[in-house]
This record gives sequence, C-alpha cells and structure tokens, in this order.
Amino acid sequence: MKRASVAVLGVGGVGKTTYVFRLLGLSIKPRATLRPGIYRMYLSDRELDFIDVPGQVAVEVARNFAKAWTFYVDLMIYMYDLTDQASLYAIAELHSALLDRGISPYRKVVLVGNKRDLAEELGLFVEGDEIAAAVGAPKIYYISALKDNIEILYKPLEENI
Amino acid sequence: MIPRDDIILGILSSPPAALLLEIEEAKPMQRARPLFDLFSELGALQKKGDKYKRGRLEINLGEHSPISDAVSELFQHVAFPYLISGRKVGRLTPDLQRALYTYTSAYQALRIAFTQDLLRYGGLTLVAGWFPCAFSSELMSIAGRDVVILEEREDIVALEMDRLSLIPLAPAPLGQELAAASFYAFEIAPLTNLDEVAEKYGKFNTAVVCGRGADLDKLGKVAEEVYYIATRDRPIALLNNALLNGLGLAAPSEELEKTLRKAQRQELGPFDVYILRGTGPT
Repeated sequence: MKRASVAVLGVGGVGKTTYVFRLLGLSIKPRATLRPGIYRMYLSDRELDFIDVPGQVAVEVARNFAKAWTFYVDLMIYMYDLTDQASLYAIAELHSALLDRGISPYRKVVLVGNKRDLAEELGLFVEGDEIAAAVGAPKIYYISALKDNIEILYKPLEENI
Repeated sequence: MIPRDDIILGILSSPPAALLLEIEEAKPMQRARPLFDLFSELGALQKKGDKYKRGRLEINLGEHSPISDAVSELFQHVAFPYLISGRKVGRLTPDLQRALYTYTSAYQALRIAFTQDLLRYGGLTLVAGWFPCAFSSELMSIAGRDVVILEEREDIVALEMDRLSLIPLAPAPLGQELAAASFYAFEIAPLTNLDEVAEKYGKFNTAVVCGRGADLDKLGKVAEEVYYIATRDRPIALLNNALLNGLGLAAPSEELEKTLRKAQRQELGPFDVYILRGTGPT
C-alpha cells in the first residue's frame, strides 16, 4: 500500500479539524485543537496521515508551528474561511514562515476556502486567486466542510495525491 | 463507531476460516474449543452440547478494505495459532507489523469520541497498553494532553513511533497550554512496571487502558483517574484477546472484572467506559 502525508494549515477557526473529521466519517463538532495531531485514513489504495495543526485563538501558534516544521508532506492544504479576509491573508504569512527555513516542506500545495455555505448565505465570498498565486497553489477548492458530501471533500486529495 | 463488518469480513475471509466454514458438524478437542467458540459467537457455527454445527450466518465475502485485509492477516498468523495451540508469535514480520498498525485504525473514531466527550483539557496522561485501541495523538490534539505510551513490545509500537515523529516534539510536559509541539514518550516495559514509569514521569493525571490486562488498583495509585474501555461486542473482544495472547501481551483477566464492578460506567457507542476516581494522588 502506498503511503502519503497531508498537512492542513491555517489560522484558528477556519475549520481544519472539522474538515479532517468529515473525511474520517465523523460529523461531530470538534473542540479547539490544542496541539498538533495526526489522523489516519485510507483512500482507495493509499494510507494517508493527516497532520492537523493548532491555530484556534492564536495566529502565533500556527506561525510557530510553521517555523518548527520538521518534515516533508506530499500535500499541503492551506485553508481559510471564505467569510474572513484576514484568514486568507494569514496564509501568506504562514507560507513565508515555512519558506524562511530555506527548504520546500511539501510536494504539492492547494488552497481551500471553507465555509462556502456561510459565505453564500452572507453574500460575502472572499476569493483566493491572489494568495493562491502567491503560494504557488495551482488550484483553489471552495468547500463547506460541514455540509458538502464526502465526494466533494475528497477532491483536494484525490486530484493531488 | 468501529468498522465491525470489515473486522468480521477479515476473520471470515482468512484461510483458516475457509476450512472451518466447510464444516457441517464437528466435535473438537478441548484445546481447539476457543476457536470454535469464536466462530459460534460470529454465527458461522452453532454450538450444540459438545458439538458445533454449521451456523446460519449469511456470509458475503464482498469488497475488502485495508482493515479487513489486515484482520485476515492477523487472524491467520496470530489469533488462529494461539486459539488452536496456544502458540505465541516471536519476531514480527514487516507484514504483520503493518497489519497490526492498520488494524488500530479501526479504533480511531472511538479514540476521537472518547477524548472529545470524556477528557478534560490538559494533564499528563498514561496510555497503559497501546494495542489494540492505539490511543496517542488524539489525546494531544483534542485534549491538550502530554502523553506517555507504555507498551510491552517495541515492535508493536515501532510504526506509531515513526508516525508520531512527524509532529514536533516538546522537550518536557507542557501542561494545558496551546502549543506548536506536543510532549510524548514511549516506554517499553510490562504493564505491571508502573512504579518505574511513575518514578520517571511523576504522578499522572489520567491513565487510559483499552481492552488490556492492566492492574487497575496499581494504576489508581499512580494516576488521579483511570479510564478503562471495554468493548461490549463479544466476537471483537474474543478476537482482541486472542491477538493479545498470541502476541504475548497482557489481556484482560477475570480479576479485572471484579475491580470494574465498583467503577462508574458510561456507554460510548459499542464500548463501556469505566471510570475510577479518587484512588490515586491528588
């Protein structure tokens, strides 16, 4: 069986753990993530290790994590909240913190805008094209980790691993 | 909460099961009865006195998953030899190591639900026996716990050590704070060596035991609270006990049941969680 690792990085409250839990088939509302954690899932013939990173409450923690990054992942998912422009701009900051280490920490990168359902309801949709270009993400996925069916949530993985 | 169908499929699609499923009626020797009892619990055989007849279970050996393949491998090479002859596995082959590791993912939803629903934030936590439920990083990420994993064989936890090395390691327990690194440590020793572990790490806030034969009285002396998790699913419990015994790991004993009678019990899906509080240090 082939193995791959995926990391989800973004600031607090954008829905990283909710997304990971949905991929694992769990529809529970997660607590704030306090420390880095790893979840395992099987996608067709692959074993995926999902690294979930704390960031709830503090941008600083996510930034520190980016600085302390010690590994290489097959796919980096930068996640932001489609209703919160600051969470998108924070991606650029986290990306810079990662690159400051001087080595590429991932093989592929995508940008995921979460809470599409809320954005549509509010009529406030922060598009990520500019930041996607800045971090070198060839594709942006707009999802609702809470409400989309699992096939849609799998797409960033299926199309990039 | 656990992929039960995948686990059962794994047992029933293993080569030893293929033979057993062809039996119309058998009267096994005493030594082989635990194997036949497991298949009776699954419904694949029916126990009639000291004989076993073909059961009514409709077996659909359909689509396999990584978990069912892992169970099939484990049943053939660990559980079956133990159940039929009491044989224990010596050195683990890489395939068996990987199968054990894959099987633990069957308990991921349990680990998440338990940690999220029952554990308060922060504290030094002892996992007394990693296999089969494999409590580890969920305790850190969801409940902000500092974690010490005690297991009896290093080859059982080798792949978990490898996996956890992906996340930054804090040099010392962090307490309750939000952090970019986690504190975790592995200890390889019998589950009875609790005093040595407590001497090294100090007293624990919590001890988590899942389907293992730990000494709960002793655990109560090194931890403020002890959570013991047991499955109510009889075939799964029998499989896990056969795997533990086949690997030479401490399996639950009858003594344990006596201790659990005085514990507070809470249901979590197909599991019972027993909580023992107030016996340890404060």
